Amino acid sequence: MTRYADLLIMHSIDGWVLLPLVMWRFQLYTDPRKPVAVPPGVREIGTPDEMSPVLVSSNYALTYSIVLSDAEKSKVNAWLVVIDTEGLTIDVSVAARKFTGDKIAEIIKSHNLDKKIKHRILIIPSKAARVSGDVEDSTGWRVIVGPMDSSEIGKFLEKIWTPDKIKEIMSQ
Amino acid sequence: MAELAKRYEAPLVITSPGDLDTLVSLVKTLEEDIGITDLALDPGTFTGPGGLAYTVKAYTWLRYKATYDLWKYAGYPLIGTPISAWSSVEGEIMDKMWWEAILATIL
Repeated sequence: MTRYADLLIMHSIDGWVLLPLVMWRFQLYTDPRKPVAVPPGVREIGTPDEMSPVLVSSNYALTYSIVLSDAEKSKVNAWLVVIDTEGLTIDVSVAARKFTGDKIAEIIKSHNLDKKIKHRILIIPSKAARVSGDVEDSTGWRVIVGPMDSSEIGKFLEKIWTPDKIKEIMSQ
Repeated sequence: MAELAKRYEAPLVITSPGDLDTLVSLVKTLEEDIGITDLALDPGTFTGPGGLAYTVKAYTWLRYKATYDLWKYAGYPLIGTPISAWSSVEGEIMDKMWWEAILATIL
């Protein structure tokens, strides 16, 4: 029930048959010191093109999946840059200096985002607002501080991601 | 079966023990020709020589194709049937239960 089957059909109900299954379900064998993480990289939300917004997020599995599903639900086309925060959430990774401009620059470079994307704007979570200067310095991209909660991504992009606004931000 | 499932809008389980090609071709037919998308797949759960290996391989392939290759015909919930140990394992009841537990924890 942890990797393969979504439903199991069994006959025994004895404790010793079911106990190992329950153990798996409770994830008693996962290491609590190591947070669940997804691989860093660039993900596509919808069908992004060269003018689609670039969102930045951490690689903690929960943060990542919530951001992804919220963005997909609001039907936006965007790039999602997932940086290696060693499985920490945004606010914690900012405090622990794992959410840095260098890491974003590294991903931009390794995934050739310079060539894939025409604009030079990153949208970072508002809990990472503190490092926006650092991100601008090391990536050379403009930084917009995004919404506090990923459920507001749709509304936020509607408001901010118009051709006029993009020009305005780039000319600053 | 497909007609019944379609008429009553009920989910349908496709089972094809030991043959993944048939399994996915059934998915394809049901999904594209008949239009049923409420499906669950049962690739079969085996014991005995080569049985466990086949079971793990079949489930792994289905998940692999669905997640890495984004192959939609494999992207359905999977059903495991450790209960099959009761008919396939010879011997004492304890042995059957033991193999059922092993199959259940693997899946």
